[in-house]
Amino acid sequence: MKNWFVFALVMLGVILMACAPAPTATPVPPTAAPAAKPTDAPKPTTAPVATSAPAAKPTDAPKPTDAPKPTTAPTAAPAASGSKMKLSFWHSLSGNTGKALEAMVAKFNQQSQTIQVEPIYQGAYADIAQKLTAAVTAKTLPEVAQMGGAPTMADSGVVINVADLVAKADLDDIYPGFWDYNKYGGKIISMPYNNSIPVLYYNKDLFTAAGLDPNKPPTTWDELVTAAKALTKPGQWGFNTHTDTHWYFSAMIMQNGGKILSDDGKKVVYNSAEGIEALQFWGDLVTKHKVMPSNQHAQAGADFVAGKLGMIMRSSASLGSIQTDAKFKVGVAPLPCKKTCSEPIGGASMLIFKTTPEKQKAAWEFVQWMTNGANTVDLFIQTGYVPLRKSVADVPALKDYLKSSPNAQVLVDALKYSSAIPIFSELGNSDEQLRKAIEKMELGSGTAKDAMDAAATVINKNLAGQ
Amino acid sequence: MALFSTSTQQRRKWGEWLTGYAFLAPSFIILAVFTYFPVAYALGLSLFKWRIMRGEPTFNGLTNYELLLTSEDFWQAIGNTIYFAVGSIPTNMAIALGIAMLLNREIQGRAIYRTAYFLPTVTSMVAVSVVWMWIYHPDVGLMNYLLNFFQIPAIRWLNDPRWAMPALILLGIWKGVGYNIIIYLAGLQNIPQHLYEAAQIDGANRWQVFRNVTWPLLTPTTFLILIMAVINSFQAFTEFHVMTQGGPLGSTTVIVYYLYQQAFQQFNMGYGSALAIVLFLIILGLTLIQNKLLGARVHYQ
Repeated sequence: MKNWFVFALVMLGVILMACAPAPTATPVPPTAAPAAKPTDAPKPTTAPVATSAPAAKPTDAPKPTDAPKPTTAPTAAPAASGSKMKLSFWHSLSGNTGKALEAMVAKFNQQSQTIQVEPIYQGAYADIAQKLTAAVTAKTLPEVAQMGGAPTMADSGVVINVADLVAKADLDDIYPGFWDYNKYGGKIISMPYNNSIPVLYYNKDLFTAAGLDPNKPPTTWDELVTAAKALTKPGQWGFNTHTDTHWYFSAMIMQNGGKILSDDGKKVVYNSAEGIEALQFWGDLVTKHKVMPSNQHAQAGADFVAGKLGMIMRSSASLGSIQTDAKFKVGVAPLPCKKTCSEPIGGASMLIFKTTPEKQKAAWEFVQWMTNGANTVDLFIQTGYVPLRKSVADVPALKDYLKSSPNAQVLVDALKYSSAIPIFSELGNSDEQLRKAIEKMELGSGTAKDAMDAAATVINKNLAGQ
Repeated sequence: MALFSTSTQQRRKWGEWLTGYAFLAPSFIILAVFTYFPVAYALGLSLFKWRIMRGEPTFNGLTNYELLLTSEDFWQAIGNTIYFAVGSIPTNMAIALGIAMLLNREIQGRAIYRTAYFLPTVTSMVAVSVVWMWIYHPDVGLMNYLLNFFQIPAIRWLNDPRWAMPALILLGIWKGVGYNIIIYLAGLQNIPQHLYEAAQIDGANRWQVFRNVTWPLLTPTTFLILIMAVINSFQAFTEFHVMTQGGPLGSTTVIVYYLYQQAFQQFNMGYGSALAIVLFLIILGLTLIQNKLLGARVHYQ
């Protein structure tokens, strides 16, 4: 009897041990856990990049229209590829956008007699950043890479500056905002490739119901408040922004004549009168005008599509998914202006790494081809990433597309206001601090001045320590 | 003869030694590559300043630890983690024990109940988190609908720094209770029936039976659940990542989420590693303390 008892207890012990889930059986190294888990997330709302550039999510890409799809005809390629120079191209685009990019590379390979580019998907912005960093140390860098926050790679000293390669004609043709977005320490480091801008989406049906003109979206901050007030009623909010609040807020600082970074790049200056005023305006939307729900940005996208939110600021790259999901007429407008108009771009760029002169030349040829007028239009039509060049207005494919999609026309028109949040080493942290300042304001804790000073103090302390 | 026998013995010893290690090898190699090496690497890395994409790591001794211990954010994260642990563990265990005792009786549809309580545990945390974001939606969420039904003013759950953590604690209990129920059930079923019979003959009432038979014999189970729960709550991450991203105002930045922000969003690898080491030490310390304080009181029959 007693033996049975002992046996039962031993078995209990065994069962209990077996029941314990593997990860908890031994104290797992905490480092392993977060590394693996981010992949669980359905969609990280902001790309966890050093610069946390408000990246357009590939999944949000507008539905691919029947754009001229490059046929991957196996012409002379196999025979020629033996003698062609091979280039590795690491990129971070998946889904629809990734397919568009790889098709474009295939088209390049087909037309080039001398260069064969192999595209390799390396994961989202954060992943590719880590892999490139590892590759710098291991000396296994590719010839070309596409990544978010690309200019910061200049610090590692392995990059060919695009400034040394680019022709005057390209410098003039591509909007200055894109160039600013690719500068680091005052130099153009990388080539803009896939970029989006923040825009104001609005529900035309709710506009009509509230007695507003559905063809006249607000163009100034004051008009935004007026429209939002008209749209707010129980169960319905007038205005909100998507989760990457720092992006829209940075836009407001610049619209108000403020700056993010000092001209010498040594400190952040958004705790200026203009910056404080912008934060006050943001806070007023919640606490004074009561047209924006406090801290409800994570749900804003769903609220808008459900018809419970009149206007939302969000990336232009979400145009396609919003138009697909919404059961009402969707309007798109540039961000409302204050002292000036400003559309700070987000997205990713092309980097060329130091290799041999021949390979660098080939890599530059590839990058130029990928960003030429026809291809930047192609990318826009297929994915929603905005065209980079002023000269594309004459490209027939674009004209046809814009005729069928008036909302896309708004995006192209807004590009003349494109600007850049300067890229600097503490940008990711700085965006985080701005989000904190916004949260404080929305919850009505403290003054706008204290919140902006607190953010600037943290960042400037870090910048001074470098 | 003597020489020969020694060498045979030695050879046999070597053989045993080899066989032993051969059996150990598969799991040891996996542990070494995926656990011990990364831990050691993190320990080394925690002594360096290394910001990814900003050049090579540079040695800076214990500076990361100093920064960490003087950082307000770190202490806030520790506070939040303790809040989460204290808020969820005791309630979770009490509910689990209660339900386990109910499910241990002869009731109709027992298997269905057991499955129902276990379902949340085997559901993906990400899926659960997304659904609960809707439940907590301030305007259209089920939670506020229920509050409204009972004439209680709406709460801005995840959007209010005072309520975000309680909301996540509630979710944690709902998600974790099924697992503990199963463990408690196993414990309950291993309590021999004759002890209950003896108690009955002695005229013990229900409370006395629980106090003097069930509870003491469940202490090994309770102890196991407690240790696991403490470790799990200090490693909680997914729901915080999906639902609140540590906000509002840092009110749900638990320690692993803080680590993730530092290491994988800000790319402060050295600082992140130091955090990982500190987290490891905290969990190790807590487990040792629990062992010391409670281990002696565990009743192993």
